[in-house]
Amino acid sequence: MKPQTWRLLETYDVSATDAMGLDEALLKGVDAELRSVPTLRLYTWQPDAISLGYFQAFDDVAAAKGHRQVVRRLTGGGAIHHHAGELTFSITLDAKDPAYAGSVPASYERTHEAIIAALLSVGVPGVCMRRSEPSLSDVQGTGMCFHESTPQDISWTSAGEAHSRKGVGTAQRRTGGRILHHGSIKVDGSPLEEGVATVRSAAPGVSLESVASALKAAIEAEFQVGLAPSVPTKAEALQAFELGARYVEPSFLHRPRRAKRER
Amino acid sequence: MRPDDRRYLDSHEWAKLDGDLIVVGITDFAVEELSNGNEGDLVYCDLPDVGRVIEQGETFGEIESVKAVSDLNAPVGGEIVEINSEIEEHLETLSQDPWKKGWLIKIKPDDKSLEHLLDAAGYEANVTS
Repeated sequence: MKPQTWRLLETYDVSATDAMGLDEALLKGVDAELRSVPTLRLYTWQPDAISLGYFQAFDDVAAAKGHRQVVRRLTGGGAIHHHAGELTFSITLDAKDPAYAGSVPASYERTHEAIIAALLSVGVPGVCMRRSEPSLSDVQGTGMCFHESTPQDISWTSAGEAHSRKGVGTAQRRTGGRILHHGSIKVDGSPLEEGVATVRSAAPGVSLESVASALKAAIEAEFQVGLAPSVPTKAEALQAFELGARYVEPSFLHRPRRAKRER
Repeated sequence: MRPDDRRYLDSHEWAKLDGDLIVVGITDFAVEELSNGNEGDLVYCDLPDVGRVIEQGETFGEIESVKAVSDLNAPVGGEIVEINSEIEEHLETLSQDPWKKGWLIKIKPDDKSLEHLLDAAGYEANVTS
């Protein structure tokens, strides 16, 4: 049987508004002809930026205050610093696509299996889902995604340490029968996210490009698909531009909200 | 089997006629999907303001778990006349009692008919397929 083909978009060094605008255009499936084709997008941000989780209060993220570029993601969870040593990916697809059929946790497990395989293949030893192990990278009160861990988070252990640190952050948005799965892989660390696991701390010399290549191969293997390199269509690019503007609007970035439950 | 005194959307909301109003909530399946069996995994629920007029199928709110942010969709059109503001502070109620105490909004509907929605058997078939 011929394997299903996914689109592959590689859009490196994009602005924060282009980063978020294109993901929303893909989530909406604005190009009707491509709507049913899952898309893997790999990207980096230029200049660096902080993305807040969808429900986070701006003032709860110290790193966002005074940062020159801050956006709010459509996906939940904590804030992330997207810097030169960070690889972001997104997977957008129909909720009924076989790749993500089943429960929300099952779709996470499958995607995380691919990420784990990719990191192991570039030489990061001991990568696994944290499960019930303590996480040494947890830091209370920063609002940063990498300082807060869940059992399914991907972690690895640094030399001489008994427990692991979080090195990959992921989150999903489900809307209108479509799914956006965001992921962030720390190839290098950031002073705004101290103490997290990085690819290069475990496997010195590995480049961001080689992590991207490994992730593409692992996605193909895990989901039994082929990746077809592509570029955003005219409709997607136009929508990405228009949608992207919202992500830095003060009304969206600083929006009021009702009380959030303590976790 | 889910309660057969109400109707369902395939996006996992339920709707129940209560006098002149339609009470709306989310199903145990939705809660389980979002929380993975751990009520602490539900972290945030954003409900609309009372008085907002919504159309059938429109997103009226959003709910976040540690896994995903999901839309809440209106089963009928009408005016939102009451919200369960307790839920925003006590998301565990959704896990403990999604069918009664876990209601989310009450709508004064344009049309009280729920015939366009799935019955319990139809919803059951949907979530087990």
